[in-house]
Amino acid sequence: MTRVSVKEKRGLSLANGQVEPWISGTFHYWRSDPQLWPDILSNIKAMGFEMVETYIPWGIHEIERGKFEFGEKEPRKNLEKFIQLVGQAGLKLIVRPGPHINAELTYFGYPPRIVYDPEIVAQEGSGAVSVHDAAPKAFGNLGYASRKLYEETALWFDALAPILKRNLHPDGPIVALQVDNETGYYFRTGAYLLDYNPESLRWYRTYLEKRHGTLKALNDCYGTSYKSFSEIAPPHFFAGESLKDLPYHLDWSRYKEWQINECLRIIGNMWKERGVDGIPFFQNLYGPMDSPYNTNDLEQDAYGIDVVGLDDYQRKEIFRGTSRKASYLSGTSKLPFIPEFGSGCWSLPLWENTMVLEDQHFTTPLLFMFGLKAVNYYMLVERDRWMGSPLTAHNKIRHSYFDFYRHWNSFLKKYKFHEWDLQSDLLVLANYDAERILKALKVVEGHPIHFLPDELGFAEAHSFFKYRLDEELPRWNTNQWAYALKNHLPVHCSDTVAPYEKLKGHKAIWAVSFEVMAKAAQQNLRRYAEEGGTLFFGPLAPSLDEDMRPFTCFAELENSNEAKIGKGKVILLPEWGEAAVEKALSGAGIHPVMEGLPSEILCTRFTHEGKELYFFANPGGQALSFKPRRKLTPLYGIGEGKVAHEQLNLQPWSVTVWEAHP
Amino acid sequence: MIHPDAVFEHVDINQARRFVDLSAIAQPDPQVLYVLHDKGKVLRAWVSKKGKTSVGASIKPSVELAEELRKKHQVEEVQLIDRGSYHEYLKKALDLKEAQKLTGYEFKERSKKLKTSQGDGFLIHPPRENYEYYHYVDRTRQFVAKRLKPDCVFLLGVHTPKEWWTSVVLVFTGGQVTYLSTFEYFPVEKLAGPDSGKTHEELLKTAAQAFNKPAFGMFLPQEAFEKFGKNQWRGLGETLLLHS
Repeated sequence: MTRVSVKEKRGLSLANGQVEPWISGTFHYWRSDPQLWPDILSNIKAMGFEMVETYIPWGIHEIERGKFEFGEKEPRKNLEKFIQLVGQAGLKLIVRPGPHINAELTYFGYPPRIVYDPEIVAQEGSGAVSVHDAAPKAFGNLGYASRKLYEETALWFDALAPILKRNLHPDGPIVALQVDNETGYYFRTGAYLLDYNPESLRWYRTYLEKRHGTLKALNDCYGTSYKSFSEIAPPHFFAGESLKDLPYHLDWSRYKEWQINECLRIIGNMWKERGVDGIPFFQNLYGPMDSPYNTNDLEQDAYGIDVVGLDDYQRKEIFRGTSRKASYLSGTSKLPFIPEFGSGCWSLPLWENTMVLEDQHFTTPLLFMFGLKAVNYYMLVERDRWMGSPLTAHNKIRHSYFDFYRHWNSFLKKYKFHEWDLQSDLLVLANYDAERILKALKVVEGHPIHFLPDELGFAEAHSFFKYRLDEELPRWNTNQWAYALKNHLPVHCSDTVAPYEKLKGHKAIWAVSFEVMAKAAQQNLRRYAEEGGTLFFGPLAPSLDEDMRPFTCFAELENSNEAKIGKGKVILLPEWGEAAVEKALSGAGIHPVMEGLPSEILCTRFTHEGKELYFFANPGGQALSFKPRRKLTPLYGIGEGKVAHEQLNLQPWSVTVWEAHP
Repeated sequence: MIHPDAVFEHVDINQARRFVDLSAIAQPDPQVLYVLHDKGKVLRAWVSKKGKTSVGASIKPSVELAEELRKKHQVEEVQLIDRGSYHEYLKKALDLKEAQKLTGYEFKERSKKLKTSQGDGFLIHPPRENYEYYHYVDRTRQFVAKRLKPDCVFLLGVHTPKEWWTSVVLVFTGGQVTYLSTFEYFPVEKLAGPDSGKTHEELLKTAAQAFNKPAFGMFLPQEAFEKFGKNQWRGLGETLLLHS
């Protein structure tokens, strides 16, 4: 039975057919005095939120293995009471019951018996047991392939499921559930760090069999003569000499991507088996957009995850990365969503990018400016190990924060912002294959207990490509996004794993490309061009498939940098040059969303029922002025309600929203 | 040093961020020459912030060679890392039983000691006190042992004439931090006159009464605190310590 579903690019579709924008904030019930719960929820509502989110911590509710406390003795653990109060406050509830939650808890929300169990803890490529070197207490990072982890998790789910089940919308306030949390090797994203536990290696061989089908196909691909899958040992660092050695290493990276997805599929199914179903399941990746995180792949139906979001905690100065992330979600996800966007920051350990209110003022509207449609602010209520939220743990209001949220939420509601569409004629694609290769080419991995510069680890021996990927790939990615920003292009982003459905409809697609591009990606792009799109590659046209076999869907580019394909065309930009890029994009009908803007200003455009909104952002410490070529009325961020004078002045680090006069 | 169940509350994020920014400046962040090798065969050499460099096709690691390379490449530190030995180090350092037995800070200290005692296979020259953000564990522990009491409150107040620039309230129980906040903990009226000796004494008195422990305090102007920070904290322990 579908109780709640995802309305693409809009929000959550409820049982009565109403579409609710997903704008929520976090409150950890067990960390505040239960007598304060009603007033805290009332203050959350007063800030303009319609949804609240909470983790449900296994390690807090478990009193001994298989025995759980839900408020019988300790009122702060009375989960059901909290859920009921959320409903009574007229709020909807998002739950994140783990098993992993982090939540700045000492053992990341697990009971201690789990994180010190050698059968469950992951193993690193070095042969070391994987220990999370945390203060105030180090503990084991868990292996996603551990059968015992799922058996133990089942005890938790068995106890929790009846409570969740009877409180699902419309019977109760629960409208969505996060499956696990930031599932991604506990921030150890290097290809050869995790997980080499024997159970993980069994999963690895299962994956190889699934991918290659037969041992012969695998041997043909690797140039090996294995007699059984069980003989195959994983790589511990890049040890290749030629192109033919890459597929073996890349399969390990692919396996790790699949391992995350498979883990989430299993956990999601565990909920469904217990009757917790009919609401969207989502997952938050902790930030990076490359292997082992595969957002496009994870949102496929096979894994039962409806929405994949990316978390974000950044100072305003990191605006290029922040805008790129929102743009990536816009071009990739069914519902562009940041499941954890910093509202304050953790206080143990202190983080170099600790966000304060002025960061919040700038980056929050900036995310929406680049296509974000859903957000959960983490946290709305301070508590132990958390600072800088609009409400303290004792429900005291921090007025400057409180007023900011009330003001911003009021803007989103008044203009029904979730119904507006970002103008995105151009789709920029990151090259997932190249990113994966880059990670696989490491001869050593740095480690949280001993930092090594990333660059130290890149193999010298990859002269089998025309360019060094560790130098050229970041250069092209950086140039491409900087160019799109400073030229105010109508753009959003994705990567080459994107299915055809996400490619179609754009006037142009611009993919950073080197020799290697997966067959499916090439075929999708070819189909896109054949049906009338304009496709840009650069610096190289793809000539190899994902297994390093000669393969191209674009043979036309062998003798020319431009070719007609069906109703469309493909253009190769072999060198980075802004003049050439401008000429090519302009020829494809890609023009700035507004002409004549200073390059320092960021600008995007949204449309809805014939109306237009413009966002202007000033991402720097100096005020900026310009004369827009449209007559504009300010809606947010600058003297709302007054018709703009000819000259617009943007304050330092500000985002403003304007409606264009017809 | 921080108890696993220590309470962190009443933390002013603006003051915490100033601490972060200052700590970032206070990091040693030396220019390092990293030489990654496989039993002497050089895989890659890299100088931080400068990039790829060459040290020849093979090396025979030793402290003498590290010192020679340090001078030749004009860096402050040299790391000669045999991949196998590096992995051996990780295996020794990442011990689950030790993790369970020790506090997180003790575990970090243990990793650091192992790091600097791996012989020529994983050689860091010269060894430094701190390898990661914010953890001058030994020095901090010494300060606590020599200047404070196992059960006490410690206040650090850094001020301009008009405001508290950053501050910390630490409550020690049995030598471990069991409570942490900034001066947001105190009623607003107690915080007036941040550069006044009277205010400092009053805050100490209030803290001592509130936590029922002796209170120690260090109050200093922002410029002095930043100077200590930029000088990697040298001399901070000698600053006048007030006692309730």
